[in-house]
Amino acid sequence: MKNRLKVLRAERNWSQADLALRLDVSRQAVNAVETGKYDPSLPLAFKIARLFEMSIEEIFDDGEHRG
Amino acid sequence: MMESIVDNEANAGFGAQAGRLALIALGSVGALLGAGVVTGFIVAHQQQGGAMTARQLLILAGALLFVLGCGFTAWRGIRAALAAGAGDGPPTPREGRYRAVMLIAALTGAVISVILMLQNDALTDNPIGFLSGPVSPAIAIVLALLVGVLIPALSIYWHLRAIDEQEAAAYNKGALFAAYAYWIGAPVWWLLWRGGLVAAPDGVAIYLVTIAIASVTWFWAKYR
Repeated sequence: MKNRLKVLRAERNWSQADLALRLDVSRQAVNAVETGKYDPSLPLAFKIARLFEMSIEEIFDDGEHRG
Repeated sequence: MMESIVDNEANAGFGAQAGRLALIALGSVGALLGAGVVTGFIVAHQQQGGAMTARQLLILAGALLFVLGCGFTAWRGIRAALAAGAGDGPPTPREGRYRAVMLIAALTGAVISVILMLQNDALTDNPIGFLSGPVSPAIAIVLALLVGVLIPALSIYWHLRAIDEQEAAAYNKGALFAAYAYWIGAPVWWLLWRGGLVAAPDGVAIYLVTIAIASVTWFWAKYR
């Protein structure tokens, strides 16, 4: 699943470790989500959305466009 | 500035991660087996009595050098892994717990291996006899308690407090692959044995293959 996590993180000048600390996950997990190799669970997706004060859809794109 | 924040972090390639793990695994296994050979050699010599010949001393020195070399290789791998993890500052609290559990588990494994090597009479005949040879009942009870009580306690803490959901997913995938390998592989071997086509099923071999499949799958799922 595509996402804007890397861009959003970079806009705030956060390292992967900074984001990992805020989300209580490992840097490896942040990297896996950013590169689309791992899709976060719904609780983690909500946590990410709250952290960036955005909706989940604004961060993650499952490729299903609504008509 | 932004580029460095984005790009210099935990996105080291699968190959680099695999290389570090290979260094640690090969170094550790080599050191362990080498230590077994050294122990067996010394035990055998003590049973025979007398002073060591120059040739025996050379063999012993070579084996000791091999153990040291393997130990150094494993140490290099561990240092490289820690350095790669520290590239972006100190570990997060969860990563700190992760490393602590890894360290305790590795030390427990080393202690168990050393006890087995020192205990096992089979060492005199087979350098890797400690993997499946006989041990005294007292040692068996102590080791069974270590494996049966300490490891589950560590595992519970590990899964609840040390790993995150990405690694849990990798574990689940590894467990699934290993379970299917066992469910299918063990009866296939058993059936072929009943047909007189292969040797009798070996529990230790099945266990090691199951662990290997789970570990390789976990590693791939976590670091790919």
